[in-house]
Amino acid sequence: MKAIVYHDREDVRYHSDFPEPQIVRPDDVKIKVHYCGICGSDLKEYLDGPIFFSKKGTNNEVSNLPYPQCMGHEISGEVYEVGSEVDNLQIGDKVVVEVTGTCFDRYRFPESPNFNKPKCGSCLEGHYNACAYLGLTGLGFTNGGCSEYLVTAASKAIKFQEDIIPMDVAAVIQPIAVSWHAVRVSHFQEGQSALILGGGPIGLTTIFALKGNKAGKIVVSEPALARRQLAEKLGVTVFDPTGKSVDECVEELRKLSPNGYGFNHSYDCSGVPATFQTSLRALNIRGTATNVAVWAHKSVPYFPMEATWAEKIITGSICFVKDDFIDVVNALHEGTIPVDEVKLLITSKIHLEDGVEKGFLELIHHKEKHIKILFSPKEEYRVKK
Amino acid sequence: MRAIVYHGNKDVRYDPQYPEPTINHPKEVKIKIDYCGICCSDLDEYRDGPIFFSPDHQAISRKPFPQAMGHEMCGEIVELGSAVNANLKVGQKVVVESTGTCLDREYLELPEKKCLSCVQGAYNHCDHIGFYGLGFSDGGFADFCVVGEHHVIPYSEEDLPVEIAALTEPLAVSWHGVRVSNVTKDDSALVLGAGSIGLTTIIALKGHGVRNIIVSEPKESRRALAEKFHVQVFDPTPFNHDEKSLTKELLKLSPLGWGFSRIFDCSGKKETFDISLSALKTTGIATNVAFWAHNKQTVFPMDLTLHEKNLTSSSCYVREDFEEVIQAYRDGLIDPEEVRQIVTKVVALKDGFEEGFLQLINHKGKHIKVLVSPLPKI
Repeated sequence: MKAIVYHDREDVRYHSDFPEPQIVRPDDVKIKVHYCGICGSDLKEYLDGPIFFSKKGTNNEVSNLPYPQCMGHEISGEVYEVGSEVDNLQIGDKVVVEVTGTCFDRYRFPESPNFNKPKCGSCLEGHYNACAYLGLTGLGFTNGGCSEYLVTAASKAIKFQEDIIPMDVAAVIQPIAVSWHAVRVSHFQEGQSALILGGGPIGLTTIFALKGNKAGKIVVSEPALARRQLAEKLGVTVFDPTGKSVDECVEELRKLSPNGYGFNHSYDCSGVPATFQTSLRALNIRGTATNVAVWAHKSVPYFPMEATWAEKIITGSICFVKDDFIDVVNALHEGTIPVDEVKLLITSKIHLEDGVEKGFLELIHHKEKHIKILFSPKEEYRVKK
Repeated sequence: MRAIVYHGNKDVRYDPQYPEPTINHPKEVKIKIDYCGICCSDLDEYRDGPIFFSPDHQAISRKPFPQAMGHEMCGEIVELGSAVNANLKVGQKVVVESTGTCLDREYLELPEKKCLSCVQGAYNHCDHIGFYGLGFSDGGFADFCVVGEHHVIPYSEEDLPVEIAALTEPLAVSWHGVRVSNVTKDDSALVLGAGSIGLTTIIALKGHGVRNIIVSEPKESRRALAEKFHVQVFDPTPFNHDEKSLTKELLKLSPLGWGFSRIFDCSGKKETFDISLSALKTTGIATNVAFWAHNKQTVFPMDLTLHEKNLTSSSCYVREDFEEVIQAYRDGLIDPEEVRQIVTKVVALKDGFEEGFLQLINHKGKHIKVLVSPLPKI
């Protein structure tokens, strides 16, 4: 089948005849892919990897699968074939995929040397998003959705209604689930105010997650004009931090908060020292700053007394669990996340065969021109040469 | 009257002729002091101050400098203002919630607006917070103290012996820290530091039903004292130069080795800050209870993020913390005999500076809590 395949750092290739995955287990389901997005993690894997992919020459800790492997973890598709014991899905069902590979998935890989490994501390308490061995479909665990087909456990496929959520919009459900999880982890309450640092793809999906959680005032701080304009179309207040010190940003942002003191919540979707400081200092009493960004192993300065006087909380959110997907699908069905607004994030759709040049390289070199590029195996996206 | 008075940096003096405070407002209460504890904040004020005795915290001040120090006080009501609530009576034993905030502006009918913290009812975060005995007004290293009625919490000597009532204030600090961390009895708790606040935090945790408590403390004598509270103690000194090994050893003491659900930094040093995060389990909460200078630590955002760890701080207390501590004594959730172990010395008021302040400064680690008392027999 056609697929975008990870070989190594700076070596991602289009294959026209990658082996098509097959149903092996009775609880497996085979999905025909419609669309698949790529994200910053995929680009990082290309530029600085392997990160989620295991060290070159080694296999994934849970699945024991090697790479080269299909990439793509932001998937929408339809059920193509079901295993003999699958009763929650039927052929033709439209689905999105909860893509984690964790201690809970070991049972699917009896040949793995780690098949009998006990659950890690996070998984023991159901926090498999923080699994010590976390991998993702499309990022090392199993073959992903920048392809024509993928196979996963039926329990990881979440149904949705195509007449409400178009297939392309559905591919954005996974990144919205990342943001939804962050909003949950922060213990966000209806009507509270929120500051988002960074209006890139995750900053924007965080707007949707907040709307779905019935947020009060939302402010987005973002230096790029085009991104601020898009955020404004989504009905939030925007702020331009360009040329301003952290002190100046904090002072002006606090004035934008409903009580003038600060925001109940902040979400750092950017991940640099300035946004970290701002996310903490622009908070209200007992506000919570949640890091959503993926950082390298870098440190930031932290002054305990700054947080102490106002009992502020700092935390971070990693990945998602199945409930986050279900909640996002429900919010789209109910309209608390407007489908038309999510569509605005899709800035182009390309065929798999152009995936490297017009997908990966385009995003690496011309980030400012795009939000979400979707890959598709469908003929209609093939550019006639 | 007699008092220990703050005049300035390294200038704290015993004064036998200090003006006795009087009731100047119908909602004030006059207290004859029984005991008043010395706290690190008092020592910091002497050594490195003025901190609370400074313009920022003077904004609501009831009274200019110099001022009698002492904010961890208990005593007996001797006089009531004309409009004081009927449930307060002369002769009652009381402890004092000693903050001075915008709430006090209200009763003093001062014209300034409430700060944005107090507007939200968060008085312990008042922008200009001071204390009776630390900037707001005269405090409890004295024969008498006058405070607003809303600062007074009555207690019964049947529940709580007078000799330890002054520890209600540091207990309230720890109680507040445990409350803001949403502790339940099933939590596993690591307490860093077994000084005064570490010990009151152990008591506050037990008062909330927590049974799985480990205490890390480098000083042997403090570990020995902590063991009297029926908790497991740990000596970090063999691993102190290597955060990775220290973390590994502490993790071994946590449930299934995956980390603690709650960690309380009652020490306030780089090592304890780092451990408070590294020894946490997924979704655990690290709470700073220590009072820091304005110095810088480092945080690795990805370390927090990969395990959704929470880092927070607890600031001071509110009246509810005092009420809950008194109630916990009543319900048998706090053992007065354990609290008594925290008091290592009691000195007469006239000796409070030499035998109290200076002893604590010059022989740090020899004492935990020193109480000062104007009572004739102590």
